[in-house]
Amino acid sequence: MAMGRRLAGMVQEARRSFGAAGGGGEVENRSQPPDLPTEHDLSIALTAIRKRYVVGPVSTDILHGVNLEVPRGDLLAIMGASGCGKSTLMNIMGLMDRPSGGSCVIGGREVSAMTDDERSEHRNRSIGFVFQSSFLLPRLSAWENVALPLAYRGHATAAARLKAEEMLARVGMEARTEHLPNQLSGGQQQRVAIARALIGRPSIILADEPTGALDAQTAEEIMGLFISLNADDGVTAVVITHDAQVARQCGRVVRLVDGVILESPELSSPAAPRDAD
Amino acid sequence: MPFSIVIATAVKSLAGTMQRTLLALFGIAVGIGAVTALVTTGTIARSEALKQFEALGTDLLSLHGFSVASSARTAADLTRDNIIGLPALSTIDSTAPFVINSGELSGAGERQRVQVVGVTSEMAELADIELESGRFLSPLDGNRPFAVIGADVARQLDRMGRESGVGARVKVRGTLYTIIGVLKPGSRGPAAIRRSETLFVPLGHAMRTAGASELTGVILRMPPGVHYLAATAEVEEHLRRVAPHLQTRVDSPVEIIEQMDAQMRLFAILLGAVGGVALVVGGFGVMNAMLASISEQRLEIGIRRALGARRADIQRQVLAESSILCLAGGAAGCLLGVGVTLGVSLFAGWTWQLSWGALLLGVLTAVAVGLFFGYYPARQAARLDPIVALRMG
Repeated sequence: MAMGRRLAGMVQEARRSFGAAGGGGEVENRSQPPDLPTEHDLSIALTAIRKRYVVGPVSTDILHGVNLEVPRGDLLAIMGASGCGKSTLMNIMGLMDRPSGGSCVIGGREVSAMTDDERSEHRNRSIGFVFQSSFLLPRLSAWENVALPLAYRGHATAAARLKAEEMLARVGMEARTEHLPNQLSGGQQQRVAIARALIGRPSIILADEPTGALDAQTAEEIMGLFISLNADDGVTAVVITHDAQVARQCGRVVRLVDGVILESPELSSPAAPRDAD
Repeated sequence: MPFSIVIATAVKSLAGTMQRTLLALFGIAVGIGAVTALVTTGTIARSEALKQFEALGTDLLSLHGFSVASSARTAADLTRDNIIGLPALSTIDSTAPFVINSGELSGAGERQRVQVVGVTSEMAELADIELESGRFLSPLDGNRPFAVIGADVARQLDRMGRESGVGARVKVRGTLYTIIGVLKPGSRGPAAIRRSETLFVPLGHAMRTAGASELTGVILRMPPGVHYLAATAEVEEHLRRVAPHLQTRVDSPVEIIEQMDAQMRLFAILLGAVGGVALVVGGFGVMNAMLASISEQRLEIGIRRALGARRADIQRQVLAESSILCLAGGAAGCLLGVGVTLGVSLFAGWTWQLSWGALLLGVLTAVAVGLFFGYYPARQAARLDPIVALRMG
C-alpha cells in the first residue's frame, strides 16, 4: 500500500519534471501545460474563496479571496492568530461550510454547487477530519469509532472491523481496539481519531489544532505520527495551528493574515517530505 | 449505513439514557395497553351480548298485538282466529300462541309473583323447552288445569314447604293446578317469557279464566333459509287481509342482534378512541424524550455529519430510536392490555378471548406512533448545521 502510494507520487514527480512529452501516450494524453499540475495532482485547489457572515444588519468578511493549492503528498501547515478565519477555511475545505464566493475543487471535483447529500458523500470519501479534541463517540469502542466512515458507505461490519483494526495498528493502537474512549489517554484518543480519518483513504486529512489539547510530549508524538504517515504512506494533510513549533515540522507553511493566504518559506521545513524519499 | 448498525446504535443510545427511556416506554405501554384492553373488552362485551340474543333463536319471530290508544277502539285484538292461517304461509313453519297473566304463589307467610302463561303444546318445541321431570302439555290435555312449572317456581314452592314434584297441586289465580312437569333450570327462548318463574298452563284454560280472547303474542318459526324480512312482510300481509283493523308488530332476534352488533361496534370504537387519547399522551412523551436526546447528542450528530452521514442517515437514526422505544412500549402495553381484559372477564364472568386483531392493532399503532412522534425530532436532528453542532458540543 505504502509502496503504491510512493510509486504514484514518483509518477507525478516524473510528469511534473518532464511534462506531457516525457509521460508519452501511456500516462494520460491531456492538453495541460506541462509545468502546471493537473487537477488530479491536487488534493485541494481553492481559488478566490470569500466568506462573509451576516448576523442581522451586521456583515463580517472573514475570508477575502483565499488562493491555495495543496498538491498530493503535501504536509501543509496553515498558521494564523485566533479569529483570523482558520477554522472557517477548514470548514470550507472540509465541505462543512459553503463559501460566499470563489471556487473549491477537492479530489478533482468542484464542490461549490454540490447538494447537501453530495457534500456528505464527498466528505465521507475525500476528507478525513482530526479535531482538537478527538471527538470520538463515547459509546463506541475504538474500532467501532474507526469503522464509522465505512459504515456510512454501507460496508458490512466484519470487513469494516478488519480494516479498522489494520488502521489502529498503523497508529500504534492495536492493543486497544475494544477500549471505549474514556478508557484511553488524550494522546491515544487522538491516535484513534487519526485512524478514523485515514480509514476511508481520503484525498486529504484536515487537522484542526490536532495537538492543541495535548501536553508537549504527546503533541510531539502526534506530530511525529503525521510526519511518518506523510513520508511513508504519502498521506496528504493540512494542519491548522497557531503554534510555530508545530508548523515548523510540516513541509510547507502558509499564513492566514487578514483573510488572505501568504506563503511563509522561512518557517517551511528545509527537508520537505517528498524530497526526503 | 447497514440496518444492523442503525438498530445497534439506536439500542445503545436508548440504553445510555435508561431512566428517560423507561419513562417514555412506560407512557407508550400505558397508551397501547389502554387501546388493546379497551378494544378487546369491547369485542368480548359484544360477543357476550350477541350470545344472549342468539339464544333467543334466530329462526324465530314474535308477533305482538299493538296496544292501541283508547280513542281507537275500532282496532281489533289479536286472537287465535287471526293466526289460524299463518302456518300455511310459505315463510312460516309453525306457530305457538301464548297469553301471559300474572299470579301469586303464597304459603308459609310468603308471597311470590309468578307468570302464568297459557300455551299450546307447540311451545315446547319452539322454545326448546327441556324438562327436569314429568312431561309438557299435550293437545290431549284440553283445557284441564294442568301446569308445567319453571325451576324457580319449584324452588319457591320448596322454600314455602310445599310439594313441588309431579302430581303435586298448586293454587294460583284461584285455580288449583296439578303439576305435570318441571323445567330444567337455565333459560333459552322468547324474551317475553321468563321461563323459570313461570307456570305453563293450557292456552284455552288460561284464556277462559282470564275472560279475554286476546293473545299476548305468537311465536312463529320460519323454515330454514327464510329471511326474517320476507317472513315479516308475508305475515303482516296475511294479517291485513284476515283482520284489516288489527295492528301488530313482528320482532326478530336477528333484527335485534343486528342493531346490537352495530351498537357494540360503536362502543368498541369509542373505547378504542379513549385508549387513543392515552396513546397520544404517550406519544408526546416519546417526542419529548427524543428531543432531549437530540439536544444531548448534538456533538455526536455533528461528528457523524463530519464523517459523511447524510441528513437521511441522521433522520433514520432518530426514527429507529423512537420506533424501537415505541415497539418495546407496545409489546409491554399488549401484555398489560391482555392482563387487564383477563381481569375484567374474570370479574364480569365473561368468556375471555384473545383478540389477535387488537394485539396486531396495538403493535402497528406502536410503530406508527414511533414514526409519527419521532418524525419531528428526527427532522430537527437532520437539519442541525454540522458546524453549529460541533461548536456547541
